[in-house]
Amino acid sequence: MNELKVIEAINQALDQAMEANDNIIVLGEDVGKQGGVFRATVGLQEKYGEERVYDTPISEMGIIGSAIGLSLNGFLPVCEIQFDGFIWTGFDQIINHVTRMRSRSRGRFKCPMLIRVPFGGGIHALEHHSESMEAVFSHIPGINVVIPSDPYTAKGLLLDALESNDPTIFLEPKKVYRAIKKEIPKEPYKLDSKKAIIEREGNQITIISYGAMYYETKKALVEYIQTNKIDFELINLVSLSPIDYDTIFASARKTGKVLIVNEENPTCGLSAELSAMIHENCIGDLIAPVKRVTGFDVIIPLLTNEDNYLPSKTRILNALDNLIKA
Amino acid sequence: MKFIFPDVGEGIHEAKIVNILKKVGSSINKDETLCEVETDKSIVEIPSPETGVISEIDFKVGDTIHVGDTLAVIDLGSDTSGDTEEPTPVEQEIATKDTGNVVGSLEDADTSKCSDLDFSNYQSDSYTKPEVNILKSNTIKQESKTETTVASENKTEKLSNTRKTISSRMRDSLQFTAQVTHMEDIIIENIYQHRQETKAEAAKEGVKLTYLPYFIMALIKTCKKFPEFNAIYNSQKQELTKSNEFHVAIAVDTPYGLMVPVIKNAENYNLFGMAKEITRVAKKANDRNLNVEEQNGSTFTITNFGSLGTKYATPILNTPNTINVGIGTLDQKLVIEDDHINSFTIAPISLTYAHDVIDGGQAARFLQSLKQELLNLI
Repeated sequence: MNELKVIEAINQALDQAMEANDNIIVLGEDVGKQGGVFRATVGLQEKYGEERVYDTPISEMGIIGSAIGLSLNGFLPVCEIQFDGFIWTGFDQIINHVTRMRSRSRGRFKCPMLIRVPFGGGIHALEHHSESMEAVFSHIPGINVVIPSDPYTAKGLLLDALESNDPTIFLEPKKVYRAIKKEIPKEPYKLDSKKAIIEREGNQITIISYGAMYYETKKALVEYIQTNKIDFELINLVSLSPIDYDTIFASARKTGKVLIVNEENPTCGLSAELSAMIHENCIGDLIAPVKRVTGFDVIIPLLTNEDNYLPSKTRILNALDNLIKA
Repeated sequence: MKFIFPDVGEGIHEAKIVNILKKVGSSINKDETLCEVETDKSIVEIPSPETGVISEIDFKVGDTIHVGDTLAVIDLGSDTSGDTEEPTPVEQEIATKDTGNVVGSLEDADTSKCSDLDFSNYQSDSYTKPEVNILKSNTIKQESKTETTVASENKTEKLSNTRKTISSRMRDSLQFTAQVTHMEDIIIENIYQHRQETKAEAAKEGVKLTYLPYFIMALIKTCKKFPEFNAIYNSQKQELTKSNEFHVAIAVDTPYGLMVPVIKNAENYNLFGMAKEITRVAKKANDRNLNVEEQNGSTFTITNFGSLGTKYATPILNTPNTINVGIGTLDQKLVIEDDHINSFTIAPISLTYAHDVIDGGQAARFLQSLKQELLNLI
């Protein structure tokens, strides 16, 4: 019996990875004694000591900067950034050093590390705690961007990402940290962190989502198929850099209709990129233009208006229905 | 069992109770929300760890509760299954430390497991992709477009007499006078309101009330202060005759080309009378019934291109007049006044004048004066 929530699956994955690999170092604000702001690293310091799990000063630049040093010297650092909105002071380190160390040294050095960041809205917090800025990271060459959506993918993808020679931004959907419980294998297992997951194969419409919105999309689908027995194909994107276009294009060509659901600001977003690429490559097989359900081009509102910003079940259902009837 | 307030994460040790959704004596299901608490950063729903009947709630709304405090007591009753028996104190202590079992779900209680979101047993209807696509439907549109544009030949025509007259008059005008155009947005909120209120009344009397009569009346008042704007300029003799009467030429767009009927002694009309006269001469122009007398003798000219949606233009002087006032399509303008932003109806005015007899400064003063006259008209 290993029924875990997302946050617990991450904790278990970290624990098992640290047990197997002595080079893994966990660092971040309050990750040690406190076990992390969301309790993802609970028990790790007790088990592996203060040298492998340690609290840092409040400086994201310091966290990622020192992780670069660790990485270049053979360690495998796992950084925790408390909230997505706090990462920007460390962004300089990411874009100028982490992502281009391999290219800059012409392959002599590599800089693998895992930067764990809770992302997205839905917990009624302030704007720095709720943003969905994954496209910014996907835009930069030299770093993988991976997003789990439930306990099973959280553990499997995290363990896979830790094997990469390249750095990974691991964006954790904080809205569903504790909302989804699932029975998952207790022993370590890996899911390809560069490949999309087709949860259900179908011929009528392709639905692509990830993170917390994947869960929201599934809720909408459960409702829709009560009355419309549509033959949908559901894809969990998982890897936002690189994007698994083989899977995406094959599906788009097969169904001719694609719905994309995420919670980002849509302009220049991940959904825009997917839409452009699908149109450029699959237009001859499309029946209708790609449809997107996203957030809006505003700073994510405070809690009273947050639910109006995030794609709701109603908005997803409307888009789905329009596309099905197109 | 005692329901211990759990560690909700984010390093929060205490929280304020903002809402209690259940009463003592009411039953509660496992994962159903008992209360909502406010932490520094968020509102968190606290779900019940077990199904049972609430026998005690130890806090009220507004209280501050600490991690480890007893929040409520739940009587598990007789329908308790084996694995939900009351934990021993040791187990409870573990539960509060182990965030996994007790931390509040941020989602609806019934979605805390995803078994209901499993599609592995779902059977859809069968579906075959239809043989249509975006490109094909576009192709059809393009084909039909090509058909209509093919095989039209270029045709050369002689100008009609009307067009010849317009052409020579326009060229004369530009050749023999030095023309400048000033453009200005004039707030006419009062006139806009007045017209809205008066339109229906005018219609009852058979009058089609447009904005044009208002502008003519204000222009006449302004010209009385600036006599060189209501004048005849003979460019050959270099003579300027300032007029005491106001004969207003109105440029009318007709199917046959531009016609310019004149309203004689426009100063004698009231608002409705002016409106009627405009309608009358415009109709005659459209019917091509204007006689020579009705097209000559103007002292200034108005061009109303606003009714066709244009905002600004550079009207050409209807020589020998010294001004041609273009009225653009009405618009809204936001104006900051005493920290408030107000929206006003504006008329974009394009004033062309003969620089031979009027200088720029005078034209600017004329427009400022016109602004005042429009403001005081109603």
